[in-house]
Amino acid sequence: MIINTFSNINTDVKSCLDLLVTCQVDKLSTFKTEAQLQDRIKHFWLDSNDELLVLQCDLSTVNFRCIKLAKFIIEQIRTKYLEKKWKMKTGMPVKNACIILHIHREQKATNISFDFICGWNQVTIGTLLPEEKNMQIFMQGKILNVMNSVLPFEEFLEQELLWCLLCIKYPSTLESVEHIKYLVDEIPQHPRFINVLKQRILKWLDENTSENWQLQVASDKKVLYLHSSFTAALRSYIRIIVRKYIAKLLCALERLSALKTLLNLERKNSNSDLIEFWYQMFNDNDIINIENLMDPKPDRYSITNGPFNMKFPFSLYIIKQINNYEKLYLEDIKMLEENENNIDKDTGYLSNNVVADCFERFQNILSKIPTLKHESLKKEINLYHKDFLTFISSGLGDNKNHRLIGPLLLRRLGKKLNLNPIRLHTYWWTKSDIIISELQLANVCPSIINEINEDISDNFEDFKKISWI
Amino acid sequence: MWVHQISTLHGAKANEFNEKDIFIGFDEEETIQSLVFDQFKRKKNDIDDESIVKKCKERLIAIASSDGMVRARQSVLNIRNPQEVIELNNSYFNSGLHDDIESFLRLLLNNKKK
Repeated sequence: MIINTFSNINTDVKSCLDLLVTCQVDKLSTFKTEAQLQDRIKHFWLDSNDELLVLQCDLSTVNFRCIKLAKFIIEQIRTKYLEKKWKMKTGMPVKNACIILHIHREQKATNISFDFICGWNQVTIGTLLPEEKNMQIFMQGKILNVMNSVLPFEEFLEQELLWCLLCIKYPSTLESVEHIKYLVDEIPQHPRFINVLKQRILKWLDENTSENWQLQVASDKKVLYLHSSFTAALRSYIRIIVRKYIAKLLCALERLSALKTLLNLERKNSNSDLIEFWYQMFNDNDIINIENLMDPKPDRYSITNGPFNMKFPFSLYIIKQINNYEKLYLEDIKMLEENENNIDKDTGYLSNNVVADCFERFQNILSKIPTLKHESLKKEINLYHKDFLTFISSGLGDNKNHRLIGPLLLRRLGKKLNLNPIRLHTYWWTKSDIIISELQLANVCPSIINEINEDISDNFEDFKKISWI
Repeated sequence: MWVHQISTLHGAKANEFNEKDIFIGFDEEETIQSLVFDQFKRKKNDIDDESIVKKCKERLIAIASSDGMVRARQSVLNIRNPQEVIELNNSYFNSGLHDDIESFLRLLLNNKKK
């Protein structure tokens, strides 16, 4: 028997045949002389009790004429054996010989095969060792079915998580390293998140991959050359496609600084409403939209700001949603300022009533954004407020500024308005320069901080008036 | 002709794969000639063309690679005779003869015992 295979010459054939048949396994390249080879073949046929002779030949290192010679010697000694067996009639085992030709796909050499009149049966077995995952399963239809039966998503995630995270180009800081480490350690401990990720990816695979995906792999020479077997190439194809979508989803989540929020909430098991809200947002394809993301590779996805340690689920998404109206609001204010009737003669700025009307209009428009109507946001508005401060202070330097900016906004807006997300945003759009100036002042004269705190505790109402300016 | 049809893809990748990619060790000057000659020699009393062609195809499929068999689903042969491609694929992947050396020898030795 002649067996063609793409398996490596170092494949341990003996161990996988041990239970089936006793065998003598040799590599042709280990023989220095014809006499050595002859002795060894004689040993099998005439001395040993082994039932199968296996001669492994790597076509890239052994001259094909040597293989032909080996075949000739095997045939010659086999004839002697059969003659001897014929004479003795009984008591001699049935012996077989097998030459394994280890072929390299990329090898283009010709005349490296036996024809059909050589007298030996021929067969191709892609992989000599039993595949961990049976080839027949890979041949049965959709990727989804293969994954459900032999390739658990959880296994992929465990192996590819770090690679997927390294596709995100975080800022080069120690915090980023800690952040990645946290995600790698923490994500595998969140079965619900893993399951939701899995369902989303399986759904995508079901809708977007063809039933004939095996053909795509079989028709790609580069992929075939890279793998030791077709099954390995198929497995790798699935792995690449799955990790592509894991990386894209993680990128979408990280760009919204939403991942750590969930992990923290689940770890503390603190607020089930917020956790439910998070999953609701995650399952919305408009919020987690990966269609336009490029295919992943290390450092492919840059994060322009963040990741932030947000407390409210998807608060960065909500911030961005509201901020989409910034330009419109500022244009509206500018138009109002062009009309003299709108200007307060004492202050020289827009009169409070005009600003209040303008804000009211925007409040009505913005409150129609579905996310802003959600009960969780209303209940946990203080968390959103904290996240907004985290966001705006990210461009203002160190943590100290983060701590100061809260009281400064509170002093200007008052407690009630401060917790109105739309008011918070519109105020920041028009008056951020004042807050930043106050921040610089507070940094120069730290004693002012105490005065601010006193102001806040004394009376909010006065500042409400100021806040409309 | 059949060998060319099963190994050639239709469409954009028509020239990317040939007989050598599906039938391992294929040599246009030797393989078919030696196969037909040997098959005639083996079946001295049974020389109807159809059974010889069938047997030759079987022996060629035995040396086919698994990826080549999958590519056959988009081959020129598949356009002309899709049923044959389905049957060849089913028998190739369900026989267990091409899975691994242990399964192959087990099947072979069992058949010999029978």
